Amino acid sequence: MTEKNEEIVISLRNLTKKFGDFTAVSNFSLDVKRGEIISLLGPNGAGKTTNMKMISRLLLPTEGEVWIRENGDLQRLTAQNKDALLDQIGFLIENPTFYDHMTPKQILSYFAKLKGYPKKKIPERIEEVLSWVKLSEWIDKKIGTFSKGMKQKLGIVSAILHDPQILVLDEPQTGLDPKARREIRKLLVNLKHKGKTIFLSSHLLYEVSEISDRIAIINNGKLIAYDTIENLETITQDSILKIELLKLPEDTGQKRAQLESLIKPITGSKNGSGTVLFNPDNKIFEVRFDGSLEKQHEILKKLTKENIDVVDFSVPRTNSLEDLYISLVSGVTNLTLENQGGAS
Amino acid sequence: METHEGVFKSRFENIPFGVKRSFQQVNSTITFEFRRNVKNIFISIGIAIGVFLLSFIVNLISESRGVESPTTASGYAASYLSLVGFFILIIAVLYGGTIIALDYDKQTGNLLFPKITKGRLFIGRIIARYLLSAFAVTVFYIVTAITTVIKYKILPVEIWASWGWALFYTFLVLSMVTFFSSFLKKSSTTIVISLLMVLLVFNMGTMILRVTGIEIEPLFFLTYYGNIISASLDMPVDRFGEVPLGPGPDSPTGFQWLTPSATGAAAGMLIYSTVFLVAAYFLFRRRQQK
Ligand SMILES: Nc1ncnc2c1ncn2[C@@H]1O[C@H](COP(=O)(O)OP(=O)(O)O)[C@@H](O)[C@H]1O
Ligand SMILES: [Mg+2]
Repeated sequence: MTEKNEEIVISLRNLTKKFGDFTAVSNFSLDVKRGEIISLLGPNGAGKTTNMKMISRLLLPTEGEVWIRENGDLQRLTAQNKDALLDQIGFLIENPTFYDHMTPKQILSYFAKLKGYPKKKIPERIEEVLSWVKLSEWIDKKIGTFSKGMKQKLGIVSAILHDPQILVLDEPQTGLDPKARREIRKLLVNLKHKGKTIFLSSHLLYEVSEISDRIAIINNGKLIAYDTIENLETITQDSILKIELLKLPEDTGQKRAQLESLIKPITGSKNGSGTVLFNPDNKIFEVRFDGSLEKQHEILKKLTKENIDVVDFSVPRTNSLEDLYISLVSGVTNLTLENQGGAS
Repeated sequence: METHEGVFKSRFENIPFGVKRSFQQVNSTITFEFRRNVKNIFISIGIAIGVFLLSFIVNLISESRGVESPTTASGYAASYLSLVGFFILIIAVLYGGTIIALDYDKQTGNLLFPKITKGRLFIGRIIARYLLSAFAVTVFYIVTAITTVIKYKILPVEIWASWGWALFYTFLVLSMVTFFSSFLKKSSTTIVISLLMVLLVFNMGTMILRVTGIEIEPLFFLTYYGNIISASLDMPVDRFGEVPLGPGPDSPTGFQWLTPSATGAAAGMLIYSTVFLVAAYFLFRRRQQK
């Protein structure tokens, strides 16, 4: 069960996690390449933590596999090899909370020993990583006196302590003030320059947009986009065309199909263009297209010619990544993933 | 999965996996638990001395009122053990209450996993907290032994057996508390439920058997095993005897089982604590962080 692929260090393959009838993560596939910062972006409850817990084997996937590179080979994570494979990764999953009456030195040296870090080097290593997050002076202070941000930093430190090649950090910036967030981002970029691979999650785009090589957007447990910022931004050049009809047809499904058959020849179907969706909330049909005025005009002409009773025909421009993220996760925009890199 | 000559290699030299790694993790967990419980060590020594002093003062008062001291050294030592069951319970909830529940209540478990597996953490913690509890119980026996030696010039050999049973019983009570800690939400609930279980359920059960005159040996009551701790100082005793039903000197009497046999106690406690620990482990394994 090994594969030769020098680049990929974590490979999630068709991961699905069900809690009873509820599917928290659904058929999720994603590859993380060495040296990249990959961000898993999605609203609360999207399945980010569940995903990361499956990487760490805190949760076993209902279906699918986790592959991790160790010693040159990509290997499937199993109960037998988890010690060796998970040693490659430093985890911070959910809120870090510490025993209040202990000190960073005591806790971190326990963690380092659990990870098999060479005993003699532990004190030096603890001082080093604490200095990265400016907590050196707090090494012997009781953690109960720390602020939330300091605890968060200590959580990140406990993930990088044993010097893993890969970091999996669940919302590492949550709970920090803007200055501390920036410090954390700087630290992550520094770690990347040291050759580390970082897989982090966030529910806020601005926390990750400037540092990520690629962003994976997750919603309702599904991967809905995985691409570089640049490519995602290209998509935002696209627009949503909203079409409201005089009378709501009884069979909206049939109407939707009719509209799609009329519009698709005009827009083409690249990146999901021309796909017509019916939004039951506002009873409006929506089409994604490249936003050009010519096409907009052609579509309107075609619809009029076919006697479709259009009463409203509008293009609210979505032109920032933030808008795209919001429209993606609110289900207004759907991307098909076939044309995008990374999601295989 | 590819292995190299059957062993995993890692970036660090000599990084152990498998059995050696488990051993190392259990080991560092024990050390860490000792550190984490420094305050409790002092508290438990305080409780041990306190319980001893209570009996010491009672002995002094009865002597000053002309009650004769026990004729044998072991009888005298036994006079300190009337509270030993309760003392062990207090020590067990002190160390056992936080053993698992705390990591879920305060969410401290988020950082422990997956650095260590639940099995290894469980074993390390049980060992550490048992050793700490046993230490407190031993402190109590040491002061009792010293006092006995001062007064009678000899150390009754039976005290070793009693100490042994006390350590065994400590393990049993700690297993019970660990069991509650494995699924109850908070450490404080664990402590309250454990105390109620022993003080109400088991003690009431014993009382009901006595009053109703049912003559089955109550091996199913955890507290019954505590009786052998003081009974072993006074062996051979009648294992089934007459006891007063009420508090006054003229109250009617009933019969009840006083102590298990050595074999019965050893087997019963072993089975009882194994069931508690195995159940606790599986509940812990299934338990999810909120
Ligand atoms: N142990 C669990 N049992 C039942 N549902 C769960 C459990 N853990 C998570 N969920 C549900 O799965 C969904 C995804 O949760 P999570 O992965 O924590 O989301 P995120 O980290 O993106 O906020 C949520 O709806 C959450 O309520
Ligand atoms: Mg989360």
